[in-house]
Amino acid sequence: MKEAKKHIDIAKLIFRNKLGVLSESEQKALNDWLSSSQQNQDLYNQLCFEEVEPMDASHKNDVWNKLERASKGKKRMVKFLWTSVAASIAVLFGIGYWMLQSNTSEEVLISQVATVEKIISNKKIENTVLILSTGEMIELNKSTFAGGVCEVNGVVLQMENGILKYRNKSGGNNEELFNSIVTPRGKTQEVILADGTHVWLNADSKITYPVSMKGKKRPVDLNGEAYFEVTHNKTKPFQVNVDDYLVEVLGTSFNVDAYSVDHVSKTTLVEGRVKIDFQNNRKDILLAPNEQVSLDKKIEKVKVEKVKSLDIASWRHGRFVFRKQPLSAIMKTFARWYDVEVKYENELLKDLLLTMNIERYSDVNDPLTIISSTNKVLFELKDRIITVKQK
Amino acid sequence: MSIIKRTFEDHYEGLVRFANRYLNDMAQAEDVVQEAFIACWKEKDELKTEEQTRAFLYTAIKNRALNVIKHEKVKSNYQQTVISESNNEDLLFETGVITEEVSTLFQKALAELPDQQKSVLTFAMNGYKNSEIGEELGISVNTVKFHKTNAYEAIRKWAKYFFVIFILLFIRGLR
Repeated sequence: MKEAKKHIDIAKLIFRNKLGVLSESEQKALNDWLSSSQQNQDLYNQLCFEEVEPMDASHKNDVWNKLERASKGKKRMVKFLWTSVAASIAVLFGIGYWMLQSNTSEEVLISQVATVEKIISNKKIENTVLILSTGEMIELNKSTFAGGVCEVNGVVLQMENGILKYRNKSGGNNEELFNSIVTPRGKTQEVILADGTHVWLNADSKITYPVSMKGKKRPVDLNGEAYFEVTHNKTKPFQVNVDDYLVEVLGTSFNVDAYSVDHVSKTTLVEGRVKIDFQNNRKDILLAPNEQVSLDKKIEKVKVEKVKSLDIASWRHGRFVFRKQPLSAIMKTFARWYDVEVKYENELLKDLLLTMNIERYSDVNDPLTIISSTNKVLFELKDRIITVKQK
Repeated sequence: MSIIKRTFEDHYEGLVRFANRYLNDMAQAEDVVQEAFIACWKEKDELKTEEQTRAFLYTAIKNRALNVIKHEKVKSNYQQTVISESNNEDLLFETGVITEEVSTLFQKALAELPDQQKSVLTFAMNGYKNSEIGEELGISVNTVKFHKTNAYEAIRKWAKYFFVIFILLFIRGLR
């Protein structure tokens, strides 16, 4: 399927090239494809444009009716599994290509493109990336996008003061397209979805959402951490799908911390009401404001506790706020933000409880200096690896 | 309109032509494409865009067509070559997908246009210069440019195939 997607992308480049509308980087991608083999050049040169007589409409209609009947006969009763969908979106997006120039040496060309997942796991992205429903990727902080407006199925996308905004315009059909945003370590991204919902995406996270929000529900897939201020709409539940559960709301503010790689995922309610739906694996949980549900995937345990929800969401304002948190949790956050690895000389150090409210400094040494001033631990930073030592 | 329905409307012919590249038998090609569509329904929760759906269909059609050739022993020389040389199999797939995708895009573009613009666009797409198009159609170069500008502008209407770049298209179309 990846191959097919790549060919579809190339076809689009060829067609647009014939219309004379390729951007520089697309032209480069096409040229690379052309120069990669004689066969490609032959294929390009042999393409011939002619009008084809359309198929008989009544025959086509009959075929469709037959297909529709056949599909209804075999409808599956399997419950919709979001986790598998999330995984498959990642795979299906498959091969995309960098549309925008700059950093030419870094530019990933169409012939050597990797999957979204690969890009994430290889930490290739240094900037936040927007992935369109076509699989095309756009680096968000590039000036090329900041000045531009693009339209996807009746929806306008705009960058305003660093916030990506979606606005529904009239027109467009009901087909629901999905976009994704991927943040690298050390960067956050704000986005306002078509329904007005405001999302803050934390570092090293990925979110996938419907472009127009015209459907009956507002489903969003998340791997990572995000804070949501959901626009109230009684008729259209807003759903955040993470690995093990689904957070369903009508309109409210909450924080979801659910990185696939972490063994604990947490959802914290700031205001309103949310339902945690474990997809039949256990009973649903209703959260009240200032309550946090945490799921330990290793021991399959769920717990609900009172927290200061504003602390949890403080990352939005560029602060690290921890209240009686183990050092291991704090270091995990640092690792994600500063793109470092953490090792412990002594496992017991992981459980050291700390409380702090500090600025999110640009240099990892600053917070480490603050913590070591407690005289409980020492840090050694070498080649992006922090070793935590007993003092 | 569902994604599958739309894909069917826009691409059924192209997909049948694609299948026919393998099978060289239009009736059989249609059968294979229809089976692929039914398979597509089962996966519909995971196929969120038309492009994903098409990527799925092309792959499913290829696999089914190759099976038909292998098992039913339909043997023309062309098909034997296809199976015996695995390199060619990839190439046939690539050629098939790209050719039919481009062709379908082109048919969609044409469908929006009046006859004169259709002719101008067809010549332009096949690499003819404005002056050559003028000669072929017996119209002035300025008239060619005029039709071309209008044709490009009309294409913007289904700009969903072009996403971000259609602004550029508009600007260049006016040149």
